[in-house]
Formats: sequence, C-alpha cells, structure tokens
Amino acid sequence: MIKLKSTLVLLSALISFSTFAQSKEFENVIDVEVKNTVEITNNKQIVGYAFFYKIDKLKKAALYRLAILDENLKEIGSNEFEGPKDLILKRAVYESNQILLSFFDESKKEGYARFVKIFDLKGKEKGTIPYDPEKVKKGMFGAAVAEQMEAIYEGTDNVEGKGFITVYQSKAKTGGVDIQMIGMNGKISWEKNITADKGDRADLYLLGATSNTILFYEMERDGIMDRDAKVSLVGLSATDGKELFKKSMELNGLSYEPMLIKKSDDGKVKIVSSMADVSDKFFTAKPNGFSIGDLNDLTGEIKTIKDFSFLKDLDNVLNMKNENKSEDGYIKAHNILMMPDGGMVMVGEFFRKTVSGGGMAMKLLTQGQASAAQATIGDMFLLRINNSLKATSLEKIEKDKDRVYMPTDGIPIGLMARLLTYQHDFGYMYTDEGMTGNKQTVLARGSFGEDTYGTVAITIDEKKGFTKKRFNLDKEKNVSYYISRAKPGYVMIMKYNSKEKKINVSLEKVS
Amino acid sequence: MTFCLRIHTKSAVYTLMAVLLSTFISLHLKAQQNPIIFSPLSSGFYQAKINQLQKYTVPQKYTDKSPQAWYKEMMTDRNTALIHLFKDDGVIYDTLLLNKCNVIGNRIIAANKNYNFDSVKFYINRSSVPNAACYGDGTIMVNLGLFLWIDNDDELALVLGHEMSHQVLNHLESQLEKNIAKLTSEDFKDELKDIKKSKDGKYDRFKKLMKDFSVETSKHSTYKETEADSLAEVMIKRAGFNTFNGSLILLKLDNSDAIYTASTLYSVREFFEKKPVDQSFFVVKRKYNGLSSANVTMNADVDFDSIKTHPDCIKRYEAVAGFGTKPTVNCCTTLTSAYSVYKERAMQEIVRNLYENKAIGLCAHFCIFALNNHYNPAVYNEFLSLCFSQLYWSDKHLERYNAVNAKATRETTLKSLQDYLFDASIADLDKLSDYFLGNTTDAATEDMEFAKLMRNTQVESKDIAYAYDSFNRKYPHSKYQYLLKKK
Repeated sequence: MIKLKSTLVLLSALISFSTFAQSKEFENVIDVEVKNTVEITNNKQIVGYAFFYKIDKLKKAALYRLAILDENLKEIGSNEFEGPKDLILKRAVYESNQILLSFFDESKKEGYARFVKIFDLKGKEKGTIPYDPEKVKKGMFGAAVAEQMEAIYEGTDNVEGKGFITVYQSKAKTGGVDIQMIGMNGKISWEKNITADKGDRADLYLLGATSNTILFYEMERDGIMDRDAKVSLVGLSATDGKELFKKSMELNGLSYEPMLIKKSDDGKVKIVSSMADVSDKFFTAKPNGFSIGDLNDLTGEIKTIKDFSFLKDLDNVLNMKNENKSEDGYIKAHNILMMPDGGMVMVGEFFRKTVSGGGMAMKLLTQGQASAAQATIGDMFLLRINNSLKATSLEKIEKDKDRVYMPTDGIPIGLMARLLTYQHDFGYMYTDEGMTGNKQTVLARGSFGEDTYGTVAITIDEKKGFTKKRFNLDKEKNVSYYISRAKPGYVMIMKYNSKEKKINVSLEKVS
Repeated sequence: MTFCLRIHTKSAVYTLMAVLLSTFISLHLKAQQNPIIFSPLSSGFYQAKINQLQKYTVPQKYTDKSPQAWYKEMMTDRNTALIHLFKDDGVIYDTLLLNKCNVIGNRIIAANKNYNFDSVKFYINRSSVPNAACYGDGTIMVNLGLFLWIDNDDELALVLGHEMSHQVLNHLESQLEKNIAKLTSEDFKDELKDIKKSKDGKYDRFKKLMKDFSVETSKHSTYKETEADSLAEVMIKRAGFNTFNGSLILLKLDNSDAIYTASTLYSVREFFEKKPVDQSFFVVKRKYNGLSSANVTMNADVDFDSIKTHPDCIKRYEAVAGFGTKPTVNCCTTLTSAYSVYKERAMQEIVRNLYENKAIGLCAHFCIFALNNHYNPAVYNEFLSLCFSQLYWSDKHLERYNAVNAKATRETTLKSLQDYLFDASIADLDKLSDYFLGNTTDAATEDMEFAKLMRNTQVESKDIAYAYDSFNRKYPHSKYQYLLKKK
C-alpha cells in the first residue's frame, strides 16, 4: 500500500492539427493524493490492481478516482465517486467480470467504518453495501490481542459463479463475525452473524470459499482470558448462509489448525493443518507436526491422508534435537507444495527463542519490567516427502539470522510462531505456482548466502535441489524500492523517487 | 548536399528534381546490397535547424500584456517541443522518403501559384503512427508510419496537400488567436482564480471549465480539418493527381489502429512453433488468467486510447471521394507491394527507432509483421536477434517488463506476442537470439557482426570493452557506432 502526494497535470488540447496537439499544463491547480494500491485477487491469485486516488476535497467529503489495472498494469477501467473525507481501500476481489472493493472510513470516529462497493471492469459502479452497525450487538470490545488480529479476522473472498463474501469482526463481547454474501447483482444475498454464548468468546477467521461452502476456523473459549479453546471447522452454504457443518478439529488426542485450503488438480479440496497435542492450551500450544487431508466441503468430513509427526515421521531427515539447542528451538511450516509426481515439499523455517543482550541490560535498568526475550529466525528448509508419504530429504537454504524482540519473556513458542507470522517477520513471503500452476517458487526475504538483504525467488526442482534468483536493484539516490506479489510467475517492483515524486512500476519474472 | 527543396521552386527546379529522384532511386537500389541503411539523425544533420529554433524570439503580436504573455508561452512551448524533437533524434534525414515528399510537394506548389508556400518544408518524423502534421511555421512532419500504408502518389499528395493547406490557410495562428481570446476573457480568468482559491470542489469546477473549452476547440478544429481537405482536393487536382484514388488514404487512416489492435496480423504460435524453443506456452492451458483476458461486455473498450488522429475519416472520405460503394481496404492486416521501396525503407527505420528506444515488444511485433509480409528477411532476422539479446540482458537487469510492455489490448496479435515475450524463459531468449542470428546469413557482414557483438556482450557476457573495441577497429565508420556509444 503506497501513500504519497503528487501533482495532477491537467492537460488541455488548445491547438490541434493532425497529430500536432500543442498542450498547456495548468499545474498546481489540483493536488492528487494517491491513497492506496491494492491487488485484485481471484481464488487467492492476483489478477489485477486497483489504484485509488483522492482528487478533490468537498464539504465534509472528498472526490476519489479509482483506476482498475489488469495484471500487466494496463488501465482497463476507471471511475470517480464521492466518499467520506479519509477513505482507505483495503482489499479487492474479482469474480465474473465484477470487482468488490472493501473500504475503511478512517475519519469516522464512532461505530463501524467499513463498506464495500461493486464495480464492473470498466469501473461502472454496480452497488454499495454498507456494514450496518445497528445489526450487531454492540458491546465493549474484547481482547487487545483480538484488536491487533482484526486484519486476520476480517476478510473478503470470491465465491465462484456466485459473488463475494465479506467478513467483519464482530465487536460484541462474545466476539465472532458478521458475514455478508453479495450476489452478482451487487446486492446482499444473505447476512449472518456467528458469535459465542453469553460469557464465552468466539474468534473466527475466513479460511476461504469453494463454490459450495464458506469455510471458517473457529476458536471458542469459556472466557476472554482463557488460553484454551475448542477449535472447529465451520462450513456455511454459499447459497443461503445456513450452517452446513461444524466439525471439531480435535481428534485422537491431537488438535488441528488449518494452514491452507486449496483445490488440487483432481478437483478435490485439500486441507493442510498444523498439529498440536490436545492437552496443550490452544493459545500456547506447541505444534508437533502437520497433517494433510481431503476435505468434503459439503459435510466437513476430513479424510486424513497422513499426519506427519516431527519426531516420529520426519526424524530421519529433521533432527529436532539438533534444532533444539536452546530449549525452545523450533520450526515453522509455511506451506506444503504438491509436486507433479505426487510428492510434496514442505517449506519451513527454523526459529528459536533466545535472550537478547540489549534486552537483558534494559531488564536490569527497568528492574525487570522490560523483556529480554527475542526470537531468532534461522535458515529456511525444504522437506521432501515422496508419493508414498515418506520424508526423503531436507534441503537447507542458508540465510543470516534475524532477531525479533518479543513483548514478554513468558511468550510460549506456539504464540511466538503466530506472532512472527502475523508480523511478517519470517523470511518466507509466499509461494508462486506460475501461470500454469506447475512451477513452485518460494519468494523470501533475507540475507541468503553471500548476498546482502533482499528478495529472493527460490524455484524448487521437481526431484532435488532449487535455483535462486535474487532481485538485484541498483541503488539510486532518493529512490526506494518495494518488491511485492504480482500475477503468478512474477513479482512487482515499485520504485519510488521521493524527490521527483514519481513511481515506476514493473513486473519481473520469478524464474 | 541538401536535397530538401525550397518551396518557391520554379518549373526548372521541378525538372531537376525528377532527375535527382531517379538518382536517388538508383542509389537506393544499389544500397540494397547492404540491406540495412540508417538515415542520419536530426541531432547531427539538422544542427542548423536546431540553432535557428534556439534563436527564435516570439514576435510582438498583442499590445495588451495578458494576451501577449499567453501568446509568448504558447509559441515558446511549440518551439521547445520542436527543439526537443530535433535534438532527441525524433526526426531523420531520409533522402528516399524526403525526396518523394518534395517531388509531390513541388508538383502541388507548381500547380497552385496563387498560394504562398514559401515557408513550407518537409521533415520525416520517426513516429510509427500513420500521420502527418503541420507545425505552423511551415514545418510539415510526415511520419514514417504513414509510408507503410500509402500505395501511390495520389494518396501521399492528398496527405501533403492537406497539411500544406493548414499552412496556407494560417490555421494555427487563427486557432491561437481564438484560444487566447477565450483564455484572456474576464469570465475565464475569474473562474480560474476562484478555482485556485477554493478549498472544496476544485476538480469538478476545473473539469467543467476545461470541458467547455475543449468542446469549443474541437468544433473549431473539425471545421478547419474539413477546410484543409477541401483546399487539398482542389490543389492536388490542379497538380494532376487523382483525388478519388488519393481519398483511399482516409479509409486507411480510419483503420490505422489495426497494427496494434487486429487479431489476425500473424500467428504468434505458428511463428515460434518451428523455432528451437519450449512450446509449452502454446500447449499447456493456463491455470490462472488475469483481467487482461476477461471478457468485458459492458462498455467494451470505449476508452481504448486510439492512435487514430482523424476520427471523422469516413465522413471526410465521403466528402472527398463522393458517395458510392466504399472500397475495402486491407490496411494494417497485410502490406501491399505497391510503393514497396518506400514501405521497406520506412519499416527499417521504424524497427531501428523502436530498438534504439528499447521498445523491444513493439520492435519484435513490427519485425514479425514485416517477415510475414515478405519484407527483406535479412533485416528483420537481424533485428529479431538484437531484440532477443536485448531482452535477455533486460531480464538480467530487471528491465524486461518495460522492454516488452506494449500496452497491448485484449485478443490482439500484439497481446499474444507480448504475453509470449513476458513468459519466455531466459534459456529460450538465448536460443532465439542465436536462432535469428543464424538467419542473417544474407545480411551484410557489418550488420551480422553487430548482431553477433550484441549477442556476445548481452547474452554471453563477454568483455564489453574488448568486444566494442574490436568492432570499432574493424568498422571505424560503422552506422552502429552511435548505438554502441548509447549502450
């Protein structure tokens, strides 16, 4: 998301004979504020971009311009519309020639400040759906942690052929979410609220949507301070919002937390979850493996393909004791990649809890109030599992250690992993499958090998090994760079020249 | 020796021109043994013109300060634009094309002695857009792109006659006067002042102000275009050109976008399928598609940024040619062989310009289009080799997107090529650079060796200083020297 000011140059053709159009620039008449740039996604892949500018101030309002760009950054549509003074574009989703844009009204002091707008690809507005605060039970907002997690609990997604789903975090004492399903006509198809019983607390986040079902992961606690939680997979009918299932994610002494849901090439919905011992308190649970299963999105039934225990199933390649030099050393599994031969590759990263020298000094100076705890994030790795579901090798991708201060000494490893993930502290960024879906490239940040800190694309070979491509950018004065996700097979490189106030955007191949 | 003729030529000079033309054609035919000719660039050749433009002072036209200030600003802007055009090599001194324009221009002048053409002078603009333009001071630019679609002298005569009419009728000056009158009117000034001061609603008010202004300007301009057409028709008839034949160029200009927007120019798949590269791009179905391939049915492409500079071409054709059966023009989907010597020349200069400016996607598009239309293969194979070497280098330097991006529109030949060039693996770029280099055996040694030099330095990472030095020693006066200096 980029925010900067630039001057709009308004051109007017004053004289025009043949191609010759002499133009006069009326500079500095109007300032344009580039508010946001967000990716437009469809089935979790980037299909285009939405650029959002403030072009005019009006009494108690503002005039905005929306530009819709395709995946190659070519403008295909635009619109100008009036909105609140400080409107932020948060997300954009595409489905069947329509785009849903999710806005946040920053200037609104009270109540709920979110709404969505639907546009066609040419930028014609099809409808505005407000999120009406009166429809939810107001109450004191619950946990501070939940507030920080707002971005995780809120979400939008497309439902194939049906429209869009938008999820807002309910601010009722009992937590939960408010859901709106928006049809292809730009109007609400159905609305639903999911929350806990009085005195309890429910937190849900949107896992994704199939054409039949909207899938949530629910954590239900007896009270707001309770660290334990009953965990379930909740499925709502995409057609009418009725609950299709609510399945406990605790089974045979293990508790599962979904990492990703994706449709595989055989049309089945695969679910990959991290596992922890059910006796661990949920919020502090230490993952002890991961599980892969087939999910029936109509019944919620998960047919386990295999539960992989770090200690039992992977110890031939992954020696956890070695990774455990300090007591709390561990690994974070980021993604499971399905390879063309039926095998799998788990992409992960080593991290451990350590003590910081500086933090220790601060601890002494503040008489124990400061935290000396830090997370040390180490190498990345690729764990290969063959098509007989046996772990065959572990390939380390060496990178320099990154250290992240932790807010408290007592932070358990499970919570630390969540915190590092949500704060984007791990080197892993995302996995790119390419336009045809048959390439697996991991995008990561860090100092890999002898390279200085930067963004690297690691393309995983089908059989063994990987190739690295580093995005080397020449340093220029007053120029800062942002490398972010782009259409499959590419990264977006954005150069911002702070002196000239110019943005140059390009797409570059990841492999 | 300068072959650009003064417009006050007498009939004796006209005869001399015919002799010179035949000399030029003969020189050109000889030059085809070395298929690639680079015409001199304006920064070097037109230094006198640049100096003259730099010395320009705006004349005192108005006694009042405000209109004179506007006039000064507009004329200075125009002059600056022209200086940049010449200094940045936006113009070439191409004897073949320029001579053709001069011969036709002089026929028109000779037949229309009642008009004053003293200041008229033609220049060849390197733009690939099919058009010509009058800059008001007698400067008439004829774009390279126009020559791709002109099939006879009558068509060229109509275009040149049209631009000369703008000059003769003093259209620029009268338009300036009208605009300045509007800009200096009390109403306009007050409104602009109010907009600048206002805190709210600036954009809407400014847009409204400028909308009124541009509507008026466009009405005025359309009238002047028709007036220029009418005079051109009279003038070229007097000079013995056939206006009916000439008017076909208006129908062609109506289709001038097709080189960028047609879907049947050539098949990208067929072009690359016999090349030694991975074919999966054409075979494997894409799992993900972006918005560029979305089927937009609502307001479909109304905002396509058209290069058509004469949107009322059909009406103007009817006005010039008279009503009747409108002939079908195949403009921009295939190139006819008539006027081929001029088309070949223009095409070479277009691809050279695109390559020079690193517009590799477009350069490759024009090369494939030229090969598909049976143009000199040695030239376009060499440029394709240069394109793929440049793309290889651009990929390594994270500049591939900018090099390839042609802002292509959905379901066009250009879009298919753009997608392929975005997607091709680095190994395939290497192979294609090598493949097209291998196809340049008919080219002159110097041309082939330049393509080889670029491949050696951009793909095979050979020592640049050493490689450039060797080439310079072998070809101290090479036409490629300026490109090496740029690189």
